[in-house]
Amino acid sequence: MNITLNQILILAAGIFSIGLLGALTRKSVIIVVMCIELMFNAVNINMLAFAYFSGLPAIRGQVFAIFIMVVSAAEMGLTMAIAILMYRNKGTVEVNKANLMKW
Amino acid sequence: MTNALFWIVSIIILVACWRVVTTRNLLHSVLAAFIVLISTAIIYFMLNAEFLGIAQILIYAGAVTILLLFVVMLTTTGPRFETGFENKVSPLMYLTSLLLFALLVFIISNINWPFTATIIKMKNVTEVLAGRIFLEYLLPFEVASVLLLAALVGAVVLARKE
Repeated sequence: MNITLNQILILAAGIFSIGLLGALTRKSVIIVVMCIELMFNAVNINMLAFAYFSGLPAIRGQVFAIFIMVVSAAEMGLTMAIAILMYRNKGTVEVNKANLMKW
Repeated sequence: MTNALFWIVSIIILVACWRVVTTRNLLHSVLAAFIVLISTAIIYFMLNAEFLGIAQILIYAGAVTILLLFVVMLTTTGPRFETGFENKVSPLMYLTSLLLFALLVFIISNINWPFTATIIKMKNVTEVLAGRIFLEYLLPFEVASVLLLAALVGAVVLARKE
């Protein structure tokens, strides 16, 4: 018995929801960014699942997954640089301490 | 067979995701994320995407996890790698996430996808993918490489000492 599309979509929905929960509730910038990466992964799983189950020989879903991977890697590097900068200026990486631009 | 493997991998992924979100230790959180990324690569392999699976292991499980571990080491003071939660609005956040998951499951299970039942298992996925990227999507590919270069330079400029 093979896997179906709905199983994979529900798995990706679970990963996305848990990642959203972490991005909303955690204090450390590092874990927030990591949860955003989990949400990117859920989206990538959806792309590959649709490319696989569409029954077409064209695999444009995989091309889009590659571009998502590139953009998330760039975002990851920049965010870690910002985290180090924030640690140097504020002495912490907790998001509730980052209130410099709060009015 | 495939179904059993899929169930085992998805249970591992969801438990490790939950550990990422709930554990207070930063290092344990990063290691749980490592497990999630490796298991996601197994899902990619099952979905006939060999190149994406290899790239996932190389980029995410290799580079991104090491980067996260370095930042954890550099930005944590004291002997224990512990951090807290937002304390005011957490029940609302749990409710939001649960509602999102329920909505997604409801939508997914109520849609009839217009796909044919036959699934084509391609033998030369990486070859076809390379053709797609370097012929049809050449301009987005170049833009993505410029984006990576800009992000690299930006990260160096931001994190450099004055």
